[in-house]
Amino acid sequence: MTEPNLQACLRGDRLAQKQFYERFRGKMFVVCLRYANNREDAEDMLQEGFVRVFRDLRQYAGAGSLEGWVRKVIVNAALQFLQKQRRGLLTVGIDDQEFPDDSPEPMMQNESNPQQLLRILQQLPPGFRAIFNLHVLEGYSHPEIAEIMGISVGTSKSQLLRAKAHFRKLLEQNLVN
Amino acid sequence: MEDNLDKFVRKSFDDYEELPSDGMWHRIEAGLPQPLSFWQVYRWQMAAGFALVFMACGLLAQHFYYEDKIRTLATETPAPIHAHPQLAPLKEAPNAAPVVPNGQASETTVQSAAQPQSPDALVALENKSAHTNPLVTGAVAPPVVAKQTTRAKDALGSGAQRGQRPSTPQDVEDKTGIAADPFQQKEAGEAVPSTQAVEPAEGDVGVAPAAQRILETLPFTAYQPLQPAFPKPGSSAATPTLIKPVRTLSGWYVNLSVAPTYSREQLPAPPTTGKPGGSWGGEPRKFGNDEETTTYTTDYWLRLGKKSRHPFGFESGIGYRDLVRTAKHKPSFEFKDGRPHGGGWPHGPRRDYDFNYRLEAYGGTAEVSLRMEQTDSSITLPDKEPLDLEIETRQRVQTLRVPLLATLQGGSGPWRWGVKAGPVANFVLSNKLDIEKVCSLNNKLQPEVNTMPKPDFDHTQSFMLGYWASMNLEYRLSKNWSVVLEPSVSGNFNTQTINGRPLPRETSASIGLGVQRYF
Repeated sequence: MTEPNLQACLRGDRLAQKQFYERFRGKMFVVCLRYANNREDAEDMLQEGFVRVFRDLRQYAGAGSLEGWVRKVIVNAALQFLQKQRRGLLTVGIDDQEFPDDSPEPMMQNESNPQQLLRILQQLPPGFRAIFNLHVLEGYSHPEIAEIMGISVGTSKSQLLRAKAHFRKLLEQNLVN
Repeated sequence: MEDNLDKFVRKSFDDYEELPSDGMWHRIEAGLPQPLSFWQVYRWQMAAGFALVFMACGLLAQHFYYEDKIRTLATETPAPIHAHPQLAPLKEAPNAAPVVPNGQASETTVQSAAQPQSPDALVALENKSAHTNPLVTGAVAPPVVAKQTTRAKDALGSGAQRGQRPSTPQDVEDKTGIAADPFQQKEAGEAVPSTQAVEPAEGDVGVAPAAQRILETLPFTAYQPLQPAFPKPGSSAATPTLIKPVRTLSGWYVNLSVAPTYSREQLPAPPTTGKPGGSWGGEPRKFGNDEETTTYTTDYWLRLGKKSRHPFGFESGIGYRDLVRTAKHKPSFEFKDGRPHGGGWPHGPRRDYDFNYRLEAYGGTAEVSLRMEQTDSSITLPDKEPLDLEIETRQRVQTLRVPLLATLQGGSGPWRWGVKAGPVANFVLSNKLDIEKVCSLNNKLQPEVNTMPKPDFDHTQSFMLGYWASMNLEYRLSKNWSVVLEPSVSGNFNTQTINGRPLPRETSASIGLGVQRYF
C-alpha cells in the first residue's frame, strides 16, 4: 500500500486526505469498535478521530510510525467521546462481585475470532473496557492509564483485574453458547 | 504482567480490519476545514502587492508627466523678438525714436549714442539680449549657466542659441518650475558684472544705439533686479534669499481620511429546509439571521487620485474596516430533530441532545451544534415537542478594501466639489462568529449549563466585490492642502458565497473626513 502524501494532506488536498483515510480506516475502525458500545458510536469516534488527525497532522514530527501516531489520536478521540457521556468511565454501576480469576486456558487455544471478541468487549462496562483496551491492546502502563483517565494507579490496577475477570467470564459464556 | 489472556486478545486483533460504512469519508470531509483558497493563502500579499504596484505606477506616471512637460517646453519656440509690438514702429521707420514707457530706462537712453540703421540691428539686438540676460544663455553663457539646473538649461538654452526672445521670469517659473536664483545671479554678476563684460559671439555685429534703447524699454529689462551689484560682505543683503522652486500641480493627490460608518445587511429569508438530525444524519437545516442590531464602525482610507482630463479623474487606494455586528436568529426544531448525545449509551437515561444546523451569516456559513439538556429526565418527550430558540451572535469581520473610482470634480476658488463612483474589491482578512446568548422557549429543554456552543465558521468568503458612490465637498487650505468632507454609500454585489450559499447583502453609509495633499 502506498504511503500517504503528508504534505498534500497538510495543504488540505482532499484526494490525498481520502487516500490517507483509506490507508488507515480498517485498523482504526477496529480500534474504535473496541472502545465503543456499538457500531454507530464507533463511527462517530472514527469521524471525530480522523478530523483530529487531519487537524493535528502538523504535530506528527516524523519520528516513530505514522500508524502508531494515528492510533494514538484515534484512541484519544475515542476516550474523549466516552468522557463526553458525562457519566464517568468508571462509574458504571457494576456490583462489587468477584469474578473468577482462573483463565480459560483451553479455550484460548482455539482459533481466535476477532468479531466474537469484539462483541464480548462491547459487553464490558465502559470503564472496564477502556482500561482493558488501554493496557492489553494499546500497551499503556498503569501510571499512563491513571493520567489519561484521571484515576489513581491503584484504581487502574484493580479495575484492570476486574475487567479481565469479567472478560474471561463473558468469553467463557460465549464459547459455551 | 502479561498473561495468556493478553496474548490471546492481542493475537486475535492483530492485523484484523473492519471497514466502516461507505458514507464515512463524506462525514469526515464535512468536519474538515475548507481547503485554503488562493485568496485566503495570499490575501495579505495580494493586497500589499496591489497597493505597492499602484503607488509605483503613480510615481512613475508623475515622473513621466514632468519629463514630458519639460521636453515640450524645451522644444517650444517662443515668439521672435521682432514680433514685439514696441518694435513695429522701428520696422516702419528705422530712425524713429522708440517708445519708452513711463520714463523707464531713461539713463540708458541717454547713454545711447547711435540709432539703428537697419532692421539688421534687430538681429544684433537679439544676440545682445541673449548675452546680457543671464537667464538666456547658450554656448556663450556666463558662469551662471553651469549652475542652472539641467531642466532650465534644456528649456532655455536652445532658444537662446537660436537668438530667440527669452521668456519673462514668470514664464520661466511657470514652465520649468524653477525660480531665478538671486544667489546664483549675484555670482554671475560678479563674473560678468555688466553687459560690457560679455564677449560678443561670433557673428555678433554689435548693438546699434537705437536698438539699445529699445532693448532697455523691453519687458525683459525687468530682469535687472535679478543681477544687482554684488552686496558687500557683512551687509544684510549679502545673505542670499533662496527662492524655492515653484511647480505647477501635477493633478495627483493623496487623501487620508476616517469615515464613521453605519452598516446593515439585507437579510435573506431564512431557509428552513433540510432533514432533521443535523450533520450526523444528512443535510442539516439552515437558518439565517432575521434581526440585526444597528452596527457602527469606522473606516480608514488612504487613497491616491489623479485629475486626468478635467473635470474627470480616477482614484484608488486601500481602506480598512473592522466591523462587529450582532444579530439574532430563531431556529425552530422538534424534539425528534435532536440527536441523543453519545448515542445509544446503555446506562442511565438520556438527558442531552444535540441540535445541529447551519447558520447563514455575513460572509459565510457556520455549522452550529446546540447541546440542549432535558430538565426532567423522568418524562418522555414526544417527537413533535417544539423547540423554539432565540440565539444572539456576534460577528467580527476585518476587511481590506481596494476601490477603483472614477471621479468628477468641479468648483473653483477654495471650495470644490466632486462625485466618485466605482467598484471596490473587499478582501476579508478575518471573519469570526461567536454565539453570545442561547434562549430556549421550551422549559423542558434548556441549553446546557456553563457551555456556550462554538460554531464552526469555516465556509467563509474571502473576497467580495462591492461598489462605492460618494459626493465630496473640499476646501482648499492652500495650493497643496485641503480638507474634504465625503458622504458615501457602499455595499456588496455578492448574493452567494463561493459555496453557493446565500450571502446577506451589506450596505453601508459613511461620512468621511480627511485631508488631501496635492502634488
